[in-house]
Parts: sequence; structure tokens; C-alpha cells
Amino acid sequence: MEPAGTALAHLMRQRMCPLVMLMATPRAEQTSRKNELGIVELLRPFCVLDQIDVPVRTASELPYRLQDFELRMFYAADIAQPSSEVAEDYLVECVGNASDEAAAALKGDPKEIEVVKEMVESETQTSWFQKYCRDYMRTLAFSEHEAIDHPVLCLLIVSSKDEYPLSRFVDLYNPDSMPALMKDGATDPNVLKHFVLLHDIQDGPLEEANTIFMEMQNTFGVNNCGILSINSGSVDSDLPPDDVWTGIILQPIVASSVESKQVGDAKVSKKRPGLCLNKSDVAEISDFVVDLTLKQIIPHMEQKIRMLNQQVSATRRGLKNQLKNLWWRKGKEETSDVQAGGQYTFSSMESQIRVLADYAFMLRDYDLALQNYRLLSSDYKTDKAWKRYAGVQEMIGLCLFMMDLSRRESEISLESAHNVYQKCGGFTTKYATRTLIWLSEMHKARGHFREAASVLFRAAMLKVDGGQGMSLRAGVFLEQSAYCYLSVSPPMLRKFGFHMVLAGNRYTVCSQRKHALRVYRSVLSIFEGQGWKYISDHVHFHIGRLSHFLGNHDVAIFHFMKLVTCSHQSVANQSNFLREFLYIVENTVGKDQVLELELPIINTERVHVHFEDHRTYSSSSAAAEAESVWSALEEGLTPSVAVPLHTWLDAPKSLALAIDFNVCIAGEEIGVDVEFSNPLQIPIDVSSVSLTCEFDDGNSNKPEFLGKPCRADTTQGALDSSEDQSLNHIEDNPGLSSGAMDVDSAPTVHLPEEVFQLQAGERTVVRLKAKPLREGIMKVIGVRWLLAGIAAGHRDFTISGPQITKSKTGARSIPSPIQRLKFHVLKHTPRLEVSMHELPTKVNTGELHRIVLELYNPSKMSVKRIKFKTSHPNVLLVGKAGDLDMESPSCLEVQAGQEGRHELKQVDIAELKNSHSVFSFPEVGDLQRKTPMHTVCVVKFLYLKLTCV
Amino acid sequence: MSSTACFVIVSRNDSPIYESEVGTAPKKDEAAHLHQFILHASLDIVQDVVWNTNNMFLKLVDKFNDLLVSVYVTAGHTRLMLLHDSRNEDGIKNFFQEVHELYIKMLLNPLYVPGSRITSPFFDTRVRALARKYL
Repeated sequence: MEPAGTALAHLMRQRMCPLVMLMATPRAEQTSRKNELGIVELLRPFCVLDQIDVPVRTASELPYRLQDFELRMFYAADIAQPSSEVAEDYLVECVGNASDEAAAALKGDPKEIEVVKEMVESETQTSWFQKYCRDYMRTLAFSEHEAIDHPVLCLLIVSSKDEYPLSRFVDLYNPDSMPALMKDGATDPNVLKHFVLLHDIQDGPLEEANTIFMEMQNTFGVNNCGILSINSGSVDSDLPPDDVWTGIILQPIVASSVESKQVGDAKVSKKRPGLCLNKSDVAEISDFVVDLTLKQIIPHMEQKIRMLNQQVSATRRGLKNQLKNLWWRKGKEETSDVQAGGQYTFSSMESQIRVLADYAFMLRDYDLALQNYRLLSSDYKTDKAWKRYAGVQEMIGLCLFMMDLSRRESEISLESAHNVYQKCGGFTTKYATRTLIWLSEMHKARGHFREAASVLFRAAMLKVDGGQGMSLRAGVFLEQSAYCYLSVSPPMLRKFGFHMVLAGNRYTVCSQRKHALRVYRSVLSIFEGQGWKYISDHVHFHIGRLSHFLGNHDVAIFHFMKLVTCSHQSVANQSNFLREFLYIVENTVGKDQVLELELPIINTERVHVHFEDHRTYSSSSAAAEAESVWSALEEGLTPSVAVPLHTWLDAPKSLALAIDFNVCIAGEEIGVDVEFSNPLQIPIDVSSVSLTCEFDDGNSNKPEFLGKPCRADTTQGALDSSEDQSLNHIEDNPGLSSGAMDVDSAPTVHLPEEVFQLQAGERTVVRLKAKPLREGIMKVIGVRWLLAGIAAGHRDFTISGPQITKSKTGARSIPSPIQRLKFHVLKHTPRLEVSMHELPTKVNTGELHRIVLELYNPSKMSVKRIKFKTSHPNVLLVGKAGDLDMESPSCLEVQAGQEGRHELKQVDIAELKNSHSVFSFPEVGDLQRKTPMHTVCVVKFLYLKLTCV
Repeated sequence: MSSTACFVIVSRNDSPIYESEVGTAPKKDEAAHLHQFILHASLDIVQDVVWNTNNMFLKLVDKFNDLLVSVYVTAGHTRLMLLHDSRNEDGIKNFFQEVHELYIKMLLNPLYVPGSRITSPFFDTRVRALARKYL
């Protein structure tokens, strides 16, 4: 690529162009302010001249042509180097302001690496970096060791309304208002002056201004005067000129106090600038600047170059001069060491050469510039004026680059400039950073991105005292070096990622959170899912944290959720991550938002369903009683049902129904075994663990029946909470009868909650229950819990593929893997629970014991025709209802009476003979059972009579 | 004198299958991710260097501040990477060769799926012993 077309050349042209010092009377300034612009700002957009074609002749006889040219304009007061702190503050602000722009440059989701790549290629990203570089260089401008920033021309502007305009011109150019550089003697105070009369058309016609102008021409010379008339438009004119100012306004580098910020805000709210100008005004300003450049600045520079060149060749070139110079320099070696910087005034030979070289450079006669820079570098070296030496080396490097000569040599020059600057220490180290920017741009221009990246990395690691600004600069440069790695072909993604993370780290340090977040987010895809766990944890942690700071809680929680299951981290880190996660959740969403939490880990594949259909609640040995014992007892009690025989032809119909869902009964609990495990090395508390269910009762008015219309029964969270409420409601009104119970307000599923603590690395199986209360279709979806009482988690069961389950006690075979957790809830069927109270463990021969047999019907249906059968009819006898209320000894006393005993025996014998130890409960008990399940409690007396065998 | 050394085996699909801190410096939490970052980033360099030499031992490939990365690539493109701060090329070379041998033995195990994480405590103790011996 041609060196002139590169970004470096562009940057250089903006930086290395003639400086115009501007001095204006307050009146003139006021005139310009009508457009919300200072005079400098008014003129600045027109200082970039790109449609010119000027012949330039410097030292050599051969003229060459310049196609484009640029000027820099500053108020005299602004020509001074800002203090270090102010400059840093300004840069920090610049970067802070660029954060939104940078984020906007990322089109689409930065998680995709392609997006980032595209962005780098389109160079939108580099634009704010270039701006940063420009601003950085601005803060370093106006140094005494360079002549680049010496004003070439002084523009004196007086308004036509000023009294005695001619004397005002003279007053303006007084030594007190000169910039510090001139006062110190580093710059020649006799710069070329140009006198301009600014006329406001709104104040009156041009004629009177013209008379003043004539006067000026007589006094100052025809060529040195100019007239500029503006404000011929009005605020409400229809055709305001194109707004060329807004984008170009340079924020002055001042300490950003609260006041100035307020002023800045006020400015933003104002109208766009340039409203008082019309198109002819704009054209006039433009012509004025072009004229100034072509007729004043360039010829002046040419002339000065020729003059200085002559002088230099006379005194310094040739063998004789060189020898003389050498001898002369040796003589003053001792003194120069002490006061290296301050000894060169504008009239010293070295400064003159520097001016010559810099002028040549600005007029793009790089050959001449290079010659003189080289001459100068040896001088400064023998003088040990290191800062100036480095400055010259820097320029040599740039000259060589622009001439596209030796690549190696240009790099060496810049490197040595960098080293020397760095050696100088203090504020000068900043110039080392500038040199590295040049160098990296040079590498980039030549396509050596890897070298550019390493140079930028070095720039980032440079230790310059600048507080926050330093780590910010490090961040900016690290980010750019990361982009360089991305531009290498093939792209070095991992290097890119690493440097981005380093940049993010630096941004975080100097609390540029938006930048940090953007940087971290763009590297997420590189590190995720690769198995480099510490890396991805680090990235997630920072994204989470930054998002939290920036108020993006969902993202923060999302990333922290990935962190909390980090079993590979140390205990301290684990608890740290967990604490931070809980803190964020507690302070933002709280318990309202149910998260797809992964702590504790739930084995969603291993979920077992248990039905409450076991024969006995007592020991497992009792449950394991042989079937034959039961069937013998059931004989004669249950009517023998003729089982309809299915042929294979009519089988599918019924099978399809059966396979579709599991069947369960309303009012009966089903248990689901869920395996929880804690991957961490710290104990965690889990509370409010319950199943989540979907319930569909097949009615059209589904929303109504939960009492919360907005939350349909598909929202698990809503279901639970409303369930609990409804439950409380029932508990509060125990006397509610089934008739009074409104169908619509009835809860559908009762889900009890469990609480447990998981120790480090513990794995436990918990049986969670669900009790459908009405008929319909219930689907167990997942499980929800509360982690540490703060974060609500939820997890769906994913059951796929057939599974072989060992049929434990009561575990049913699985009809279909997908439908395993779907239940067809049938309406309440009668259910009889029987328990015996006061069963003695030890009895004596012939002793009578009263045993209470409790029958309980939890269902809504009534149980009819209850019969009781015993395998030991001569041991168990059924007593009278009246005995129930009596205390145990007294009832026995009654039985001790001959009559009662006799009667009993008779009953006993009768029962034995008639119905094979079957006892039918009287109808009274039956009636009672029709009442709702909660209150049904039928109690019967039994006498256990043990006969000694 | 305490030294930092972090040894990682990276499978051919770029995910780490074995990691251990074998240095004598006290373990720090921040160091863990920094080491991973450096090693992960140097994979980019390894990718280039590996085709420029016939040797399995690639010597020093990358450095970050004062941390150096040495790499040894097996025929199956599994990379043994060592992050260290002391220059001891011979020792590192021997270490790599012995670990390579161990790794091959690991591969001979029919129950070990190549490219999966190495969890064998035997392997771990042997690697640590080698690190003590050579580094």
C-alpha cells in the first residue's frame, strides 16, 4: 500500500500540519458566537483543503504539487501544553464518551465472533481508537522540543464594530497574550501576521467596513489584510447551510469540573450551529481559508525553508563545517550535560534546523526533512539533549516511512526514539507511548499485524504515571492489540481473546464499565465450552458483575448461574461466587423470578413415581406377606367378577387409552423420587422444594378455577402459590361440607414442600409428593426450590427414551417414557384406611383386651357395606358401639359381668357359623361415612380374646 | 526458591484433559485463571510453530511477562504444555518425554477414551514425581 494512503499518513497529516495562531477581539468573538461557534470553530471545518493543486518549490529547484493540505487553528491562549492531570482527565472523559459509540459499532450479538471480525474489518471500531490517538497526541502537543507546533501564521481578527479598529490590531498583538512557548523564547515571536476585519452583516451594510478595510490595507500592506463578512442569514431562514461544524468541534482540554459539564449539557440542548450563516457566507469563509493558505502560508513556508536551507548549508554542510562543529561542541560538553533542555532558544542553530526540517516535513519534502533531521540528531546526541534527540529520531522514522524507504531503519529509529524517551522518565515517557502508536500504525500499514500487536502490547505495559489514565490507556491499547491478532490471517482467536480479557481487566480497574462489558462479551464465544473452566469462569464472573453494575440484572443472573456450579474452583471462590450470586438475586429479582438454576444438580433422568397403593403402612415384612394369605381371606368377600375376554381385535382401543397416561386417583398422593446432589464443597440450604404440575381439568373455564385469571394453570409458579393459599383456606374452614365447597374455588393439586440441607458433595434422593384433588389430567413438569431462601430455582424433568426401572415396592411399571409423569386423575374412589389402636404387645392367657379399630375414608365417596373378616375368628371379636366411650378398665369390668360376656359369645358363635368370620358393619357407620372425608372417623370396638392354644 | 509451573495436556480438539500445578510456589486463586489464559493463548503460536520443525519438543513458544511456555507435541497432536518461570530446557525436555511415555501407557488402557479427561490418580502422582525430578 502507498504510505500516503494509510491510516498512519492520515493521522500524521492531521497532526503535522501548519499551526495558525488566532487572536480576536471580544467583539469579533461575539459576532461569531451568534452561530453558537467561536471563530476558531467557525473556521476549522474549512481548514481541510482537499481540492487544491499548488506548486511548491522548496530547497531543490524542481517544484512539486500538493493536492491536499491541512491547517490547525488555535486561539493563542490555547497554545500551551495542558497539565498532566487535566490531560488525563480529558482522555478518560473521551473514552467514557466513546463507550456508547463503540458498543453501537458492534452490530448484532457480540457473542458471535464473526460479528467482531466484521466490525474490525469495517474499521468502525478503529475509528474511536483513532480519535483517542488524536486526542492523546493533542495532549502532548506544544512541546518545546518540536517545531511542529510553532505557529506559522498569526491571524488577528477585529470586528468592524470595534472602535479604532486599526489600533485594536496593534493592541491585540501584545507580548502578554502570547503563548508561553513564545515567552520562553522557544519560538520565534516574529511570526507572519495576517489582519482580518470581521464584519457582521446584521449590523449594517458592507460599505463602512470596506472603508476601514481600505485604511487597513494602507497601514499593514495590501497582502496582509483580509475582510470576512458573516451572518447574512438569519435564525429563521429557510436554507441553513449544511452542518459541517457539529462533528468537528474539538472539546477544549480543560479540567472537567462540575460547572463545565453543566455548560456542556446546556450546549447540547441548544440549536445546531451555523444558523446565522447562509450559503454565500460559507463559501466566503471557505475561500478565505483557501486564499490564506495558498497566498500566505505556503509561500511563507517556502520562503523560510529556502532561507534556512541556505543558512544551514553555509554553516553546517561540508567537511570544513562539520569539523568545526565537532570541535566547537566538544568544548562545551561539560555545561550541556546539566541544562540539556533549556539551552536552545529559537535563534540557536539547532532550533533553526529543526524549524527547517519541520517545515519541510509539513510541505511534504521528506527528503529535505530527513537530511536535516539526521544532521540534527548527531548534534543532539553529542549534546546529550535526549528529549530532543528522541524527538528527532521519531521524525526520522516517520520520514523514512513516508518515503517508503528502508523499513528496518524506520523501525530502528522509532525504537530508539521510544527507548530514549523512556529513559528520560517523567512526563516525557508519554512521548514514548506516542512513538509506539506511530510504530504500531506503521506495522499495520504494512500488514504486519502480529508485530503491531506486540508493539501495542508494549505500549500498554509502559509505566507512565497518570493514575486512572494510565490503566485506561493500557486498556485501550490492549484492546487494539487484540484486534490486530484478529486481523492476522488466519486469525489468532485465542490471542485475541486473551488480550481482550486483559483489556477488560484494565477497563474494570479504571471503572470504564461499558467498555469492559463490551470487551468481555465479545470474547465469550471463544472461551465457552472448550473445557478451559477457569477462563470461562473468569469471563462469566466479570460479565455478571459488570452487568449488575450497569443495571442489566437478567444478564448478570444468567452469567452468575453458570458460575455457581463450579466444582473445580477452590472453596473460597465457590462461596464467593455463590454469595455474590445470592446478593444480586436478593437485590434485584428476589423470589419472584424463577430461574433455571443448576444448584443443586438434579438428575432429571432418574425420576421415579410411587403410588400410594400399598397394602400396609407397617413394616416391609408385613407388606411382603404372600399373596395367598390375602387371597384366602378375600375369598367370599369380593364378588367374583367375570373378566371380559379381550381378543386381539378389540384390544388396541382400550390399550391406547391405558398407555396414554398413568392413572391416579383424586385425593391420593403420588410420590416422585428426585435425586439432588451438591457439586460444591460448601453446604447449601434448599427449602420449599416441591413439584410443579400442570393441571387440566378439561373445563373451558380453566383460568377461573385457580382464582387468578391472568395466570393460567400452565404457569407453574402461579399454580403453587395459589395452591398454598387455597389450602390454607380449607384448613381455616374445616367444617366445610362438600356441598358448600364451591367447585370453582377448589384447589386442583396439593403440593407439599420439603426442606433439606445438602452437605459438601452430598447426593440425596427426596420423595416429593403431589396430591391431585380433582379429576382431570395432571402432568408433573419439574421441581422448584428455594436456594438459601433467596433464589428460586426451577428445573423441568426431561425424560426421554425407555428406561428399565426396578420395580420396588409399589413402583409401577412405566407405560410410556414420555408420558410417565402424566397422570389421568380419576374422580375420588372410595378408599379405606384401617388402623388399630392400643394393640398390646404382650397378653396373658385368657386375657381380654380392647382394641380400637379405626376406619378412615379420606375420599369424598362414601364407602358402603364394609365387611370385616379375620383369619382368626376365635381370637378377634367385634364389640359394641357403646363400649367405645368407656375407659379401658371399666369396659372390661362390664364385660366381666356374666350377661355381657354371654351375649358376646353368642354373637361370636353366630358369626362363625353364618359368614365365616365376616362381620358386616351396621348401616349407621355407613351413613357417617357419607360425610366429607375430613370428618369421617368411624371407630369400632374389638375384643381380643386370646385363647391359649 | 519457589517456582511457578503449570502443566496441562491439551487434547487434539483443544480442550484440556489434564491440569496440574506442579510448581513449588504457594497456590494462588488468581493464578489459576491467568495460567490457563496464557496457555490457551499460546495454542495459537503452537499451531504455527508445530509445522516448522520435525521435533516433538518445540522448546519455548511463547511468553507473557516473566512466564514462559514450553510445548511438546505428540504424534496424535496432543500437546503437553508447561508454563514455567525458570529456564531449564534440558530438564523440561526430559520431563516431557517421560510424561509422553506415561500418556502412551494411559492410552493403552482400554477403559480410557482418547481425548477424555484423565482422572487417574496414579497418572497424577507419577506426573508430580516427574516434575519434582526434572523441574
